Amino acid sequence: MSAEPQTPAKLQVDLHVKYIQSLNTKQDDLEYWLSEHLRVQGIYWGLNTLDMMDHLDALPRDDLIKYICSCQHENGGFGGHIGHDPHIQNTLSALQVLVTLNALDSIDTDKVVRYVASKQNDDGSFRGDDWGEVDTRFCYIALSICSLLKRLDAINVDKCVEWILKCRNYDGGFGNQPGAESHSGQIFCCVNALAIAGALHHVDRDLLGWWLCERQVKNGGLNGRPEKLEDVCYSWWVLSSLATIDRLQWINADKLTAFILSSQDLEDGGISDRPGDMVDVFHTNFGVTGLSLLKYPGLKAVDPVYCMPQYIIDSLGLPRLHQCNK
Amino acid sequence: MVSPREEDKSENPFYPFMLVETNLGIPIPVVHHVLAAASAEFMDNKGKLREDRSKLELSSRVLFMINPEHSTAANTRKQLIQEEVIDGQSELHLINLMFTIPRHSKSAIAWHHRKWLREFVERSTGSSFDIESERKICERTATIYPRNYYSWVYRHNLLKLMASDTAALKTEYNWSRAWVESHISDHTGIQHLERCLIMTGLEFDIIEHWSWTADNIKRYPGHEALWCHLRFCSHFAASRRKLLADSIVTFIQECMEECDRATGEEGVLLQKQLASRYSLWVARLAACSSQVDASSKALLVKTSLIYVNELMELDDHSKFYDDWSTNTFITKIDIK
Repeated sequence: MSAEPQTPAKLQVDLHVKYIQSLNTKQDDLEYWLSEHLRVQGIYWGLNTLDMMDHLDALPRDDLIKYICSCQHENGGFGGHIGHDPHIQNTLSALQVLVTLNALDSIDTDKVVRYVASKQNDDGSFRGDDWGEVDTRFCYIALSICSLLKRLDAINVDKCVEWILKCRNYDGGFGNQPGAESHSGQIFCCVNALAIAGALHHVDRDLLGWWLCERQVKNGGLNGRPEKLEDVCYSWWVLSSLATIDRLQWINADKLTAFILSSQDLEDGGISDRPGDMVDVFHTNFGVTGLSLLKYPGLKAVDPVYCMPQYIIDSLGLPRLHQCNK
Repeated sequence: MVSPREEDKSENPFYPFMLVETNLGIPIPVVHHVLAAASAEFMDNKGKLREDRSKLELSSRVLFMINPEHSTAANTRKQLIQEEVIDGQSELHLINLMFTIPRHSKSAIAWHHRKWLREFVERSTGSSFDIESERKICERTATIYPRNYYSWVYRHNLLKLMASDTAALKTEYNWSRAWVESHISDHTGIQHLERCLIMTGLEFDIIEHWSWTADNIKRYPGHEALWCHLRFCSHFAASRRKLLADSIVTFIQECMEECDRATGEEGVLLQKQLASRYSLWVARLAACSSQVDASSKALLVKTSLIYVNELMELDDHSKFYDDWSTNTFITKIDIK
């Protein structure tokens, strides 16, 4: 376990902007090639971080739109990069980027909805792609996409809720499928899927909220499961779930803020999983969105259900499914 | 780490790779070149109907082996298996090899690939997979990568296949219990034991199992995973009207006393914290349950009010305990 963080630096907005701008130029790095399949998700993480810090114009808007559109397949789904197979996870990221850039009109959204709807199983669960993997993540993704496009009518929401509830455990948490261990990432998916479905009354907020706040370890960071190491990304998965069920006050916000800030790279920008490790854009996004939920000054408010700035969700005319950002 | 030296270039025809007998070494600094080349070749061959699929097979193998999360490479391999370009058994060996790398052994996509392969081979040959060898690969991956989520999910799915076989479930329970004894901080493995308990159902001696867990907690202080399991056991026992409030209170007291005697040791503070949290958790469980009698509820809730103070003294940082002690939380519970 890492040591107590020293007096942490402030959020290094300028450095993080530069870091995100540099991501597409690192073709001599192994990480660049290892993350080739994540390019579309990477753009969402980068762009979302920039928007939270009020620097949306730091990436070239038209190029991004063109690139994202080039990842869409005939069946409506998006691949993780040009030429990669479609998957609903990349489809959500692509949609989030286009919504953020106010460019939904550059794609055929009906086709996207048809693609997502075609992935629902009879038991209510969703497959991620044509090859049949099933996971509670995909339920959240399907509901999130259909909600952003105001097409929840296209899928069987009640059946999906029924299946998600089969993934709930005695501790109040949720796993990736019926019988699997409670996991903060899957809890984020299930709780926020239930929020979108209008089915949060199924959640025992005190029981689950307690389990979630027990994820906070001595140095203030949060882990995803018992006896795992703390990790900045859980600042999002755990915190947003607590926000949605209105139990955010149970976390020690000062200690968590200090932990996230101490995970910044103070020379080249970016945020890592924990102090001293290599940064990446995934942890940069979830560190910054976590800080937003913790009311860190200078950041835009984030919607815990959609992991996008609140003003965007509001501007779409979608209801706030949580008690934050009043 | 061994790296090939530039001065050996003339003697090493494979430079910068190293080939020793049948072992190939690829230096980390050149891996990205391998990936870039394989990626270009893969994209060039993907989607094209060609007689010769060998380039697609080879490039997808390189991409998938270096990065099991490359779903397009994995999908392409599934397609090549359907086309009988790749043999199912050899693909299984490839995944076994991939799973010798700890980081790779936790890949969701690789585990799904294995599940898909198993189902495909069973469908196309009509013969079932050897469950024993599947169990072995689960055990190995769970051991080399602690709290290996997808490895254990895979094992749960094997467990479902033997749902009606009581003897097999019993064997799995015994194996799982022994595994937990040597991996007491692995909550994912412990959760598998919980699955075994649920599947064997009512026939189980939950009181004996509770005691076994409690003994382990005393033997290995400061492990959250074991305390989580004790919560599960209490939940399980309560639903079968077997929650023994007196034993619980005694056990927590004994843990506290042992901690007081062992001051300064690693894990002692944590053990106190975990014991106190358990007291609160089991009090809420009892208070909310219709299967627990009134005097047990009263005893457990009364005890929890002592330990919530303990938690605040221990500087447990959750504001949850403030809510508990000011009764805004516990008064929601019906104590009759």
